[in-house]
Amino acid sequence: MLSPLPSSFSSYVLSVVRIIVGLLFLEHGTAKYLGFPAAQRIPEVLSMSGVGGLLELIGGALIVVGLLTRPVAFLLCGEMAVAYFYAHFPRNFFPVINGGDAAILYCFVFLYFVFAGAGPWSLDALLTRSRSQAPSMA
Amino acid sequence: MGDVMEATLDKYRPQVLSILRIMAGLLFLSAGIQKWFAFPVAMPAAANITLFSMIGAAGCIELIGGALVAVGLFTRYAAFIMSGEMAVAYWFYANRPARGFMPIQNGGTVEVLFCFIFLYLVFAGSGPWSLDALLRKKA
Repeated sequence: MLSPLPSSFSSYVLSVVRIIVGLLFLEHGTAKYLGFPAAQRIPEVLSMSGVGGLLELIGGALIVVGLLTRPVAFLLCGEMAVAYFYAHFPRNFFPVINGGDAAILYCFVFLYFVFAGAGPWSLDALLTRSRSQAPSMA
Repeated sequence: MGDVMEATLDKYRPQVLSILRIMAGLLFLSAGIQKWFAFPVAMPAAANITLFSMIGAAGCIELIGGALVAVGLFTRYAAFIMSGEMAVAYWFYANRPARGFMPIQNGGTVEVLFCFIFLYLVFAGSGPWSLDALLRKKA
């Protein structure tokens, strides 16, 4: 069998995946509220899609930079579960028909980020490093 | 308290990796089943699917690769090929100039998500709930 790749590589790839997933997610928020890259009708802020858009905008940005990753990912995982059962599941049971592939994938990827954290390329890692170095600097 | 929670989360991380792997594999497999077996509903682009077409090859990778990743057998190899297939699908089918460069414009979000999740599986492996782990224990 292929010899196991060094586990340190997988933590960097975790950060890469986190950044890409965060950017994809952020896109939906910016499309709703900032009209970029595709202009969408701005939703009512207190509606389902309005709150979802805010979570996408703020949550997506936080995931991209890797700040407060575990709690934010937990929120977004829940948001995607709600989105799937609210917007996709009523249409049909099968994800290929109801178009809910992305929602399911997002939900489980964010669930994994809750357990795996942000990886080394993140503000979380920077803050953890500076916090553990601080006592020695005093 | 935060450290205790993080320690608990880290402890169950491998199991959640297996959960992510199973879900991604099953979704991928269902795409392949739709192409080749028209279940649950036929895909218009795959109406006259043949083995040696782009969509036929994609369907095969999705069927076999998706099943392998779902049960966690030869995960890193299968995931590598599936990641490449999704990259090809994105850059050659979704990302067309007429549709726009960003995934939200060209509808290629799912391809990008699959591509990077499978890329991660290549490096992270299949986790404890997999045939790979079972075989490694026996060896």
